Amino acid sequence: MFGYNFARSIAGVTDGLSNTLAMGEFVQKDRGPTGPFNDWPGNCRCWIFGNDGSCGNYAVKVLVHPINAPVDRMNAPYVGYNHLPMGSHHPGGATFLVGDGSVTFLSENINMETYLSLGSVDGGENEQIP
Amino acid sequence: MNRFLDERRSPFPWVGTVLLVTLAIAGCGGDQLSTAPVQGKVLYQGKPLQFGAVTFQPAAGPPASGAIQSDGTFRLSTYGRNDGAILGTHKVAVSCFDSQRPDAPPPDPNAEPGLGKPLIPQKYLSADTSGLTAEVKSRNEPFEFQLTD
Repeated sequence: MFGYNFARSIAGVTDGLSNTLAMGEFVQKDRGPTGPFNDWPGNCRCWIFGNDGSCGNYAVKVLVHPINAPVDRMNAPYVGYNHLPMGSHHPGGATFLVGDGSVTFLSENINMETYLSLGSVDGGENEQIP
Repeated sequence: MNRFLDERRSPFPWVGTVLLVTLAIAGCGGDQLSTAPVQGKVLYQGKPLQFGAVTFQPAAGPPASGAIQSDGTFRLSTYGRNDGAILGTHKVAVSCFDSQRPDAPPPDPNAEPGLGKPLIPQKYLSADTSGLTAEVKSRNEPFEFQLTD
């Protein structure tokens, strides 16, 4: 939905604003044997920061792993920061802002196909928030 | 008989009920399904994938996932690190994009964020189209997934 120096029109969200996630909770720490991010606050970086183009866009996430998935950034197999899972401190799932302005709680049991479809703006999957 | 007597004697007969309901709602972990360790290997055109991720999607319940290591092997996690997947039949998805490369450069901040080039055929990205399935039992031999064009 978002990018760094990048704008998307509402018309560009062809899956529909009500069927597309805009933002979500991200709380994640490593659980492996060692590593600097095993304790809270875990893996966290700033949402907004000055950038000369040499740094990544840490506020944008790639949905690969299920919500609250216990994968690590600093213990092998390594998962890149932007590919770490969405997650929260409350049990069972995480809260997301939907493109239409509504807020929804998604269970960590959500079908991955549904979840990934909600993450795309123009995938044409016709998935709806469960 | 005693049950009824006890109820009448208790000044707060409803306290126990309310507490139980609260515990059931707040109980994190109490409703977790049984998992079994799952490890395996993913090959494409006979060669191990060097990065990416594997997802096991059950018919119902929590999906499991794991990152692919440089030798193509993976271990799955559901509730805790390397605890595997819940028992039962799973549909399997594999992702392997340039952006998952461990030494991937940061994405171009001036472009629409993307996953980079997929290094495996599109159908494997979705558990519904991959054609890959796995039966997770209480004990599992390592799984091997051979991806082809």
